[in-house]
Amino acid sequence: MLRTFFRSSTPLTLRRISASPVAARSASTFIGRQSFTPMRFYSAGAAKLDKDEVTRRVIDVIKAFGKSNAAATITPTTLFNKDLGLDSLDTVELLVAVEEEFDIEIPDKIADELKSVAETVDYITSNADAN
Amino acid sequence: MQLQRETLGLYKQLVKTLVHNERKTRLARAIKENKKQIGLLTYRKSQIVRRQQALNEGITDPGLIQEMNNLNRQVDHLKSIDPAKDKKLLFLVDSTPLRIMWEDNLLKSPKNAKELARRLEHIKDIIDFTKNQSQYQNLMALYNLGTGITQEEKVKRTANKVGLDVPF
Repeated sequence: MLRTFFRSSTPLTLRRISASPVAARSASTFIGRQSFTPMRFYSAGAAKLDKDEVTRRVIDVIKAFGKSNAAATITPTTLFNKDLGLDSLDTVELLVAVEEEFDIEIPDKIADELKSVAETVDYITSNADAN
Repeated sequence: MQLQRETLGLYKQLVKTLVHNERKTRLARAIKENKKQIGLLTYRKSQIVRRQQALNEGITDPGLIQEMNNLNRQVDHLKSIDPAKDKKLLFLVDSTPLRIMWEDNLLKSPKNAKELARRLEHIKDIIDFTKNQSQYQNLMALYNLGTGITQEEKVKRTANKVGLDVPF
């Protein structure tokens, strides 16, 4: 415990500052900026997910699904049923994977209506809990 | 329609609990496998070094160098893989038996609505059991901290407790 305490009490940046005056100047501005970092609370909403990022991740998940055909060409307009050849049980499996990936819970009623990649992405971006 | 949604919802819960259950062991296995492959490649590298040393001084075999580079690349690739990020972990390894059970045994030819309801109830019990079982295992691991680690790690931690380091 003591070891970690000593290590954290003299951060690397400080030690390096004393070596050269030029570095000291730039480092002091760095420290000044850092001290104004606003505190974040756990209750604060997390940054919203970027839509492109979500699309990319959803497509990655679909590609990992062994049963989907045409794995190479998945676009936001791809339909689970027609383009990927997934039946209802397969779609359920895929949605479970998407839920796990983004740490969310998709209610059954909404899950019924998700038929394409774009709809799924829209739902995920609208869900505040997704990460 | 209502019934279909309900059964699909049940199927979803079943798949989800099974994926959850499998995940931990599969991840551990993937990490182990990755380590093993790296170990194997390192061994092959050391063999090449030995072969190079066996040659007369000043002579280098271009084939050996190429092979070495190849192995290095493979090791780098293996080290860059994070098994936890593998999206395959989000799916069941093989859902075919589950599907067969679902389509052929569960939903086909129930004599009446009561029979079907009884079968669905049974599935709910299975889901609950699987969930509870994994919860139980998690708690067991939490309360008995020493069970999941190797002997080597145990010795290391014991030494750390009194401020020592074990040179492994």
